[in-house]
Amino acid sequence: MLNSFSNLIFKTLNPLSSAARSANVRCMSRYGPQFIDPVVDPQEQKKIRETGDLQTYLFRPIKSAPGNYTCSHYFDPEVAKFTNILMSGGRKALCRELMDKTFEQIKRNQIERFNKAETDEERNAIIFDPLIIFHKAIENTKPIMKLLKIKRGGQTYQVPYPITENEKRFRAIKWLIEAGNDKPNPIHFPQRMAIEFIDAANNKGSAVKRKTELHRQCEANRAYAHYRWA
Amino acid sequence: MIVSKPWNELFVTCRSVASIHVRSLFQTSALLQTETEGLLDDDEEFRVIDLKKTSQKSVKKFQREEKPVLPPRYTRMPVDQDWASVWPGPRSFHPATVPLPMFQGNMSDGLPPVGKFANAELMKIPNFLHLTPPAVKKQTEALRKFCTAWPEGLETDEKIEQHFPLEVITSDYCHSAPKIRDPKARIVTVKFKVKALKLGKHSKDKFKRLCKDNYSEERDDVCIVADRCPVRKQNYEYAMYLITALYHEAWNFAEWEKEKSEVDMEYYDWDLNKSKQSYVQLKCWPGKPNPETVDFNTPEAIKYRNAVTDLFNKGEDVDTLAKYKEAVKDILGLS
Amino acid sequence: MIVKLLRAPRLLSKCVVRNFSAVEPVVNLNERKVFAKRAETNDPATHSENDIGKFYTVSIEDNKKLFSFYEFPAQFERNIKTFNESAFMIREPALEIINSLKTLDPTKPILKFVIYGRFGEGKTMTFCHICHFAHRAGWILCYVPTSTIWMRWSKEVTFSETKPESINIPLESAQWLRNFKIQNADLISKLDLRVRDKIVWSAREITEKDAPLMELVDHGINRVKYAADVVDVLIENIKLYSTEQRCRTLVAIDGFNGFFNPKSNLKAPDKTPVPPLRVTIMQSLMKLTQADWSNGAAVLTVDTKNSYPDNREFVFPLYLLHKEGFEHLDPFIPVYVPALNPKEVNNLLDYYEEKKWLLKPQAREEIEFLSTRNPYHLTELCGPL
Repeated sequence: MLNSFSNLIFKTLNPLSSAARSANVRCMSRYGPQFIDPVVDPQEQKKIRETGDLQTYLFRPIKSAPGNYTCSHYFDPEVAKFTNILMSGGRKALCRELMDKTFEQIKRNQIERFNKAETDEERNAIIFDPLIIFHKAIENTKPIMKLLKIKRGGQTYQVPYPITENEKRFRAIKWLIEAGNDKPNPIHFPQRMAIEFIDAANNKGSAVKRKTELHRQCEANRAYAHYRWA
Repeated sequence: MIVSKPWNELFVTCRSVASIHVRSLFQTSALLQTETEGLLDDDEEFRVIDLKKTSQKSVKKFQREEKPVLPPRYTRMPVDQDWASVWPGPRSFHPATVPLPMFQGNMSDGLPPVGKFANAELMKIPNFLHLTPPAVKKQTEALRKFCTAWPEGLETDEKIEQHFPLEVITSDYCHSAPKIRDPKARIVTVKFKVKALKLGKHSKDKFKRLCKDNYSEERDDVCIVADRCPVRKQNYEYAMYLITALYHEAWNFAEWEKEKSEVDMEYYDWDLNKSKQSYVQLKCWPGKPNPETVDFNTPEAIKYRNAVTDLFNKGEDVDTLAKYKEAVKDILGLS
Repeated sequence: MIVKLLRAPRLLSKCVVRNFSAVEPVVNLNERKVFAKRAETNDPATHSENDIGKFYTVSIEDNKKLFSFYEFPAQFERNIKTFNESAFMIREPALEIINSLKTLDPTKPILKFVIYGRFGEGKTMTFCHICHFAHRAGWILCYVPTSTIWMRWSKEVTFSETKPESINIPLESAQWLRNFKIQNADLISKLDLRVRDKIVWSAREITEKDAPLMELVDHGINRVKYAADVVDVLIENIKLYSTEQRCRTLVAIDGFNGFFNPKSNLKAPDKTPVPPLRVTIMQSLMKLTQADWSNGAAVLTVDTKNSYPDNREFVFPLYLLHKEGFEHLDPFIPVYVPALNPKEVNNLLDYYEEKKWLLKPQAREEIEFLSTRNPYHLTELCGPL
């Protein structure tokens, strides 16, 4: 009797946890499922006001924006994510500088390429905007599946698994950074990363190679895919 | 059978949360009790089912006595009241007592400033509401019988300085403790302005250097704090001795003072510096520089001299540099 | 709950910060064609007040001649490579000095200008602009980019044989002579300037009287041991010839306040400390900035990066030069280089858009605000965009 009653109390004390779990919100988050993400980009905000979606935002509680989110033109959420993953020892300012210099270097490389290009076709194909190249690079490096080790009957099999969007992005960023760090030392990190980004945007380079390697292995191991459930 | 101690205790501890559940259980148990009672006592009357529980007395919730909240005091204040009685002494700000519409706080985005109620900023800052002119007047009137007239001939600050150049500051302390004395009472501060002393050009400079940190350039006064002796009288005598010694020493001219060089100068003298030589060289070009042939009283020379002197003596900033630039352009003959 | 409801709309608006994130349409880069305002001619002598804020280009030959050895500031150097041109903005302080140089009186002692200003606001660029003008106008250029490089990283330090207690930095002196040759060889041979007196270097090395001046310079480059003394003799000759009105000289020293630092990183061969003025080439350059010759000008920059670390609070000339430096240069004309005005900022951003460097034109207001119109920071901020 007492047991069931205490269970009752627990559930009434924490009414949202089950709801939270069902709404795909992080279960340790203090925000319940009714909280919505903030809108930082002024363009987005304008759209919301114009299309009349403002009503959905007005009377709902909004999560606070993360500390590194700004409405500045230097801000891009994916770049912020990249910076965070690049950072070590809490040196965010250094990473931000490195990212700025990397983008600058990308531009310089592309302009050099433009000046050296001989045909109009080549010239038109060159993208100058480092942000576009950055996004493209990450898109091209994102894997579709991942391999997980499953032990069956004493043997470990590499089983292809589906991968969430966040994990894809993380993998892509991690591989790009590792590819950047692989290069020989005298070249500074911004120069190395610039080369990596441009290569990845053109589907070349070691980061993309890693992705294709992974895809190849997934393809090779597709026979074990049923071990996910068996 | 169900109503027992454990349930009551539970009701006390988990009141807010589980009250509904427990109360309903409690009520059903009470109902069962009345039911059994009826069965035993009265067989004849047909018991009507009481679903809506109208016969039962509702348990009255413990109601706290609500005290009436009076309007704030300032709404009942007459305009011609004696403010000194309302706020007789220093007191931290109390919004209900102060009849003024006050706002304190920096608000942005066109929001109105924060009012006086629950305003921590108004409470933090010192207020002088106990020192309104009528209150001060009242106090001065009360003190008047203890005061003598302000002496004639001491109306202005300058006259006071002229007649009483020396200011001696001491402080008395009293403790209501086993020891009534305070060692701080021995401290004697002596202040005076340098212009009160008869000093020449050299002696003034020497005096200031001898005083070191005790001399303040902004106020042009010397402040000596004497506390090295245990008794106030001794400290006072020491301070007087110091002033005498400094004064007489300032008038002494020692042999080694002749070795004072350009580096030791406390101000920039254009005549003694290279800037004058550069000017002479400029004016005598292409000939040999000869100071006697150069006229230093032309307006441009004077302007240049003042500009350079100001740069060093007044300090270098945008204005002095601009003046210097103009002066140089003049002497170089540029537009 | 009620409080939160009221807060919700503010959270949205909180993200719209001040003016520059005022919502503008995303610009289609293909349609937008922006061109920076440029001056009509690329000759600095022809520019006037109307050209302030406009760009002019330094030709590749001039660039090679003047700035190949001692380069521009690093940021500008990178941009030259990327944009394929070295474009200078015409600014008021430069024009002021150039106008004074154009109307120079050859019979009066040299004019001295001291350029000062905050970091990144254009002192060195103004300085280079004036050097370019002087070169094109046919002046001899004595160009010293910054003396602190010599005072920090000189590889060889030797005792001077001709000047007691002085120190030579032979490799750097020879480098300076090499740069001098690249900049002025043509002009000097055109003017046919010759060495005044015979100089005996050693038993076998003699520079004859009336030998061409460039021969002296070559001797200094080849025989590094005598480079510092060659610099001294060269400077004396140039001063004499300028006063005789056979040539016009511009002395251009960047970071002149470095000469008056109390210490340097150099150590003499006997481990004694070497203040900058103990070095022979510095002493020779000091002679150039004295007002005992005419038909020339000295354009000097004072910079906090060239001063000793405890002397970096202000940017004013007297503070940076100390009394010693001030008195050496007095009377001089202090010229302040301020931050860019709005018109100049606009044109600079137009230039970066034209060169496809700034790809986000909607960020212009933000860049202007963040950089406080400081050209160095503005260029840095345009980098990632």
